[in-house]
Amino acid sequence: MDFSTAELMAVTISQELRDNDFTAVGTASHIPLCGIRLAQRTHAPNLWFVYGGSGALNSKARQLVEMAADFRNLEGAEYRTPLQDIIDFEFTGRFTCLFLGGMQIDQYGSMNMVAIGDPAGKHIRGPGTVGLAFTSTIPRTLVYMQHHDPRLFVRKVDFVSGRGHDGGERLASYRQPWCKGPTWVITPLATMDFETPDRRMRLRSVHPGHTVEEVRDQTGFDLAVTGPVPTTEAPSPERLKIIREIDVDGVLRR
Amino acid sequence: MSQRRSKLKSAAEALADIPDGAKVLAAGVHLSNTPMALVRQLVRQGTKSLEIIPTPATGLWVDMLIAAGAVSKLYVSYVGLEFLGLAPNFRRAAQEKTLQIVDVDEPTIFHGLRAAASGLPFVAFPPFHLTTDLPRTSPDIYKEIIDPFTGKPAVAIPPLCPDVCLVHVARADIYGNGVSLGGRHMEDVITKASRRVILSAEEIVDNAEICRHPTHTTIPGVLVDSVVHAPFGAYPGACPGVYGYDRPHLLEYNELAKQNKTREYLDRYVHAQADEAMMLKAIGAQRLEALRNYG
Repeated sequence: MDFSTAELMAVTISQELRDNDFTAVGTASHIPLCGIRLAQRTHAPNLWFVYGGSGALNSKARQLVEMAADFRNLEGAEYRTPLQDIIDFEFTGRFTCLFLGGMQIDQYGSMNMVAIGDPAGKHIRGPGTVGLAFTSTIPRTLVYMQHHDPRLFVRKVDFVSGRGHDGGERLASYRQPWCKGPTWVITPLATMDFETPDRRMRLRSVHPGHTVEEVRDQTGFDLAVTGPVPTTEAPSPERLKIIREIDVDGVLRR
Repeated sequence: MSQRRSKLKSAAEALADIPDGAKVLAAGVHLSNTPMALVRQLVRQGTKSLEIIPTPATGLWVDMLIAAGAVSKLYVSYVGLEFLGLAPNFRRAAQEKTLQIVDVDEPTIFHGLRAAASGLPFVAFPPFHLTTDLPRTSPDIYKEIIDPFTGKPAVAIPPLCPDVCLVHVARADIYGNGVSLGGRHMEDVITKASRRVILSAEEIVDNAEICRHPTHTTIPGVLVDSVVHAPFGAYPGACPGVYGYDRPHLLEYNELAKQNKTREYLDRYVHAQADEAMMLKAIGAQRLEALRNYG
C-alpha cells in the first residue's frame, strides 16, 4: 500500500507512545497529532493529550486544521485545559512525554529556537524558546523535526533553549528527578535515540527508501551507528486506514 | 440614588491616555481572541516606545506594532505567525537590533504575571532554567537562589506587571463582565496583574443576561476599567465561537511584511480608516459575515 513520508512518521510516532501516556502537541504538529490519535485507537486507549493553544483535552476534531490554537479542535474534546494547567503539568511531570523540536538540534539533543549565529551579534532570529526548557522537566522528550539536513542537525547549537544530554552532572542535577531528557528523534529520513555510553545521538532506524549513508551525510555531526540499522517498519494497511480517517482531507499526503 | 457607572467607551477614548513608554500586554493565543481593534487604535494614535509583554504564544499584534515603530522593548517567549511562520518585522528588528529583546519563555511569562496578580515579590522555580542559556542572556529575569527549605538551587523570576492590558471577548456588559467562548489563556491572571484593563467585546449584552448565567462569566467587571464595543475586534484573527480567521488577509499581511512593506498595509487598513467601523467597511460586510460560517 502506498503511503507518504508524513504518514509513515505518524504511524512510527504512534508506536513510540505508550498506553497511559499523557502528552501534548503545539504549533505545526499535524504529524504527531495523527500519531497520537492513532495510538489512542490502537494500543493506547488510555492515552490523554492536549491539543496546543485550543486547550482541547482528547480532541476528536473532524478535520486537521492548520492552527493548533484553533477552537475547532475543541470538537469532541473532554475538557478545555487552561494554560495554567498545561504549565503545571509541564513542571510536575504529569505530562509523561511531549513533542518538541527546534531550528537547531545538536548531537546531545540540545535544541535552539532563539538565534542561529551570535544572538548578541550577527544572527538569524528564531521565534523564541516557548516551552523548550521543559526538556529538563518532562519524563520523555520526543523530538519531532520536519526536516533533516546539516543546517538543523549541528555539532553544537548556537543557543541552548532546551538542554540535551551534554553538560555533565551539574546540569543533570538541575533536571527534575523524573526527567530523562530527549529520548527519541524522528525526521523525514530516520529515527534516532541517545543510547550510547556518552548519550550521543544514535541512528535507530532508517525510513524505507533511504540509506544509512544518506542520513549520516544529512547530519552535521558524527551520527553514532551501533550494529546493523533496521529499516523503519512500513505502516500496516489497518493503521493507514485509521490515519486517513483522522486526516480526512489528506493533509499528510500533500 | 446614584446610578451604577457604565464603563462603555469608544476605542479612542479608552486608549487616549496610554502614555508613550507604557508596558502593554494584549491577551489571546496566536490568532485567537487577540484584541486587534484596540491594537489598530494604538497604531492610529501613534503611541510610541512601548514595552511589550506578550502572552507566551503570539505574534501578529506584536509584529504590527513593531512595523508601526511603536515598540522599544519586547519580552519574547514565542513571537511568530503560527502556521504562516516567522513574524517578519520582529525578525528584522531583532536582527537589526532596533529594539531591546528580553528572551524568556512560556512559564516565565505565566508565573511572572501570576506573581504580579497575586502580589508576590518573586516566584521560585525548580532550577531547570539553569540548564539553558536564558539566565546568561536575560540575567535580570533569572536569578539563581538557594531554596531556604531544602538548601538546594532554585531560580527566582520577577513579577511582570503591565501598565495596561487589552483583552477581547465574545460578549460583555457595560460594567465589564466578559464572556470568552474560547480557550482560557490566563485572562483571569492577566487582568489581575495589570494596572489598567481595557476589554473589547463583539457584542454588548444586558447585565441581566450576564446575571442569568454567572458561571459563564470569564472576566469579572470589577477588574475592568473600560469596555469597548468592537465587532470583529479580533479580525483578521479568530474570535472563538463567533468567527474564524481571514486567511487571505493574513497572507496579504505576511507577504507585505516579508517585503518590508507593512507600512503599505498599515496605510491601507489602519491609517486610512479613521476608526474600526470604517476599517470593517473597507474589508466588506459580505466577507466578514462569511467568516462566521466556520467549521
